[in-house]
Amino acid sequence: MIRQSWWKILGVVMFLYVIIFGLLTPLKPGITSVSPITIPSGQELSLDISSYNTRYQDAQQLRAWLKIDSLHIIEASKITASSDNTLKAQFTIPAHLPTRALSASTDLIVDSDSDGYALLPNAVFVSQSKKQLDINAGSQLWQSSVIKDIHQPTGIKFPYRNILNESVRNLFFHVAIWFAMFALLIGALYYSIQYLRKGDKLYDIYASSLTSVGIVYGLIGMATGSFWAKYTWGQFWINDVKLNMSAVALLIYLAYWILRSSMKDQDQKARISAAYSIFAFAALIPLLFVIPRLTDSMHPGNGGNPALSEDDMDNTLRFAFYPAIISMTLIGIWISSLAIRFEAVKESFYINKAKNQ
Amino acid sequence: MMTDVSSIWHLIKKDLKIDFRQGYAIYSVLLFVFTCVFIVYKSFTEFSPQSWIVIFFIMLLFVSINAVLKSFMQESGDSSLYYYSMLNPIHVIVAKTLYNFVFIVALSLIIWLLLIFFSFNPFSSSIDFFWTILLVSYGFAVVFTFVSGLSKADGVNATLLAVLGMPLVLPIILLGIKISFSATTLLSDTSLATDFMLLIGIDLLLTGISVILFSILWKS
Repeated sequence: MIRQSWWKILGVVMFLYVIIFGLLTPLKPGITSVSPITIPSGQELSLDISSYNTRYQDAQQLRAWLKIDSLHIIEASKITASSDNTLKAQFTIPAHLPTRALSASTDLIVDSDSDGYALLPNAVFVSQSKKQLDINAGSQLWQSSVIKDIHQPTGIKFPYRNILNESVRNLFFHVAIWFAMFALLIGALYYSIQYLRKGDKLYDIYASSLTSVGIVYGLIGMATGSFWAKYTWGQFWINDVKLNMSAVALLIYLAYWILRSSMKDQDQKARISAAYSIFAFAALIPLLFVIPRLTDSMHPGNGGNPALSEDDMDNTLRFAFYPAIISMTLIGIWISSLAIRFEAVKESFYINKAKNQ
Repeated sequence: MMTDVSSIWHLIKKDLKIDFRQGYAIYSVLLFVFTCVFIVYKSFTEFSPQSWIVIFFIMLLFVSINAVLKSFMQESGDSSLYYYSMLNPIHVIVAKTLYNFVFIVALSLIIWLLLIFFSFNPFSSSIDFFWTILLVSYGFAVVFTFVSGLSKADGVNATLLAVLGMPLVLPIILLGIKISFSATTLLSDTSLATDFMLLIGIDLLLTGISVILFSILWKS
């Protein structure tokens, strides 16, 4: 199979598909910001809404709600679009809140027939004074509206996430390349074990080439992750357990490179580096999958944060995400197969040279 | 079963006897420890518990690398052939690991006492710190013994292999430092139990792999 080329073509075609589909698909409409973000109870609220990827001037029907929970919702009395991406909505905030607390956060939902609905969680904070505390009256006043006849966004679009915005597309590169790296490193682990069992030099070439490509993939994964971190968290590197542990994991594998380049004796090099890489892979599992899950982490998938869950992934993202994993793995195998052939040719060249002398 | 234990016990006794007879190995490590502690004491005018702990673990790291590196030195050359024909590789790696474990625990207790002597004891719960020392020392012993076992075959630079072991022990040190921080405060950390379990888990995992891989490598 490795000698045929259909899987290489498949990998490249899928990767092109991921780039084109992943970068050209528009995002669903979203609300970027509102002002003001706090309002006392019992006042008229004139809310300036900025949105993204919307055509509000074409809309025939525009509606907006502020929602505390599924029961307590108020609707905007008047709503005007001053441009495609800015709205002005008038709300009458009731005098009491339906909570025992002095403030409540409300989600803003804007629905238009031109684009579909858009949502901003925790958009406006409504506060009340101690005198206004009246949970029953508040509960009645806030039940003035229900959200119905919502327009769904049409066409194939990626979900809009507030801090992610357009960078949601990085999912196909950052996450997929880590998956592909794992596939390559598991391959390397398999060939390391095979080498120790059978002692065939070819297995060592397989293992070392796969590991090298895996390390390069890891570096790329870290670089793409850094750009994502810069965009969403504000810095290229933050002091977070997942990031630090992945740095340690890469250090372990960089030591593998040092190890291989330090030894002259071929058999010894192969044996020791095979043993080291099995040891390193075993150390990698707790580093990347156990420790970050048990401690607090900002990285999705750890410390109680969801990853690849309903909230983050929808089916349009999956259409590019799974091909991205497969294509990057296939391309990785292709690159390593080139490295393997190069090493094997070098090996047989030196053997022939030694024979001729 | 009994023969396993007695053979391991004899190997440990042999290492202990050689080390005490030669002397220089133990004394050089002790000198190293004392010098390090003294430098730290002279250079820090004020010592926070945090820096105390970090310095403790960094000293322990380098002292134990130095101590463990020599563990397969005696078995090079002809004697390795003798051992190869006589012994079960699992006995060898277990005995070496246990011996180094005891050695590193002793060293860490000495560092702890010296640091108390020159500065203070930052721990409100010394028991927690003691358990941390045991687990971290065991992790060090497993990783460095395995790595120096790799260099058993002559011609490999032993210092280089020790350097390769350092990223492998990083998670152990980081966890140790985390638990030690919580041992300095009066409030107990809610994640203390999981951290201990994690440390034990990593130790066990590394033990299993080092035993399996060593018995494969022993053949060569």
